[in-house]
Amino acid sequence: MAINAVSGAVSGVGGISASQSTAQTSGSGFSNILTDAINDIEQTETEANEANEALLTGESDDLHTAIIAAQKAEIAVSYAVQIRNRVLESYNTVMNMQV
Amino acid sequence: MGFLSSIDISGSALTAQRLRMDVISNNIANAETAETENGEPYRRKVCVLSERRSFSSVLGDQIGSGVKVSEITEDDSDFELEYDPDNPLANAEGYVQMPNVDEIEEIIDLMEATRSYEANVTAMNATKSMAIKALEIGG
Repeated sequence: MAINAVSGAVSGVGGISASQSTAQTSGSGFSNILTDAINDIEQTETEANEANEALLTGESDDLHTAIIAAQKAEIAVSYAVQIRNRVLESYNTVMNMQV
Repeated sequence: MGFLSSIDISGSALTAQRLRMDVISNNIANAETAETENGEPYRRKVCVLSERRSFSSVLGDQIGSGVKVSEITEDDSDFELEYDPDNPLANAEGYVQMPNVDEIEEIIDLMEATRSYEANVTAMNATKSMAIKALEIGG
């Protein structure tokens, strides 16, 4: 019976490590979202700069194109900040768990 | 980003209305041009707006992606005749051909284009505030 209890404890430890690996995959899923958000920021920021340059050099006649590109960059930054907040929140929830 | 394409719909409308404004301004500026390079008076130009279909709409999506100016055509109505025998361009009876531009009609089109521009800016602001609200989910 002691041997069964020990083997039960060992399989329990194995179960914990399995859940740790799933936690890692869901953690990397979260970090993927954050990385994607940051890449989107970079892309919209580049587009905003290009639109601004085109407007100032006279290549583009449209004032609204530059403004729209700047607004898109602003939304992308807000989105990334919110994602970061959520990630930190869930991390803190996990870290504050009583063992 | 996908959800920002709805802002592009309003953006295309702003571009189209600005182009329409250019055409109207050109008509008003040339309302007295009795002779252009082809010998005739200036002909009123009209721009034709049509719905812009994107690639995804070809695949069966119902919503178009805004508006575009499909062509800028000339108005085929007759030229106005003005009695001005001292003008070097006058014909045998003393009449000069003037452009077929009615300034009052052009000013009304101008007001229409302005209001349309403002309406599209309002629509774009509503879309953006919707997106910002979505980021507030979860407190």
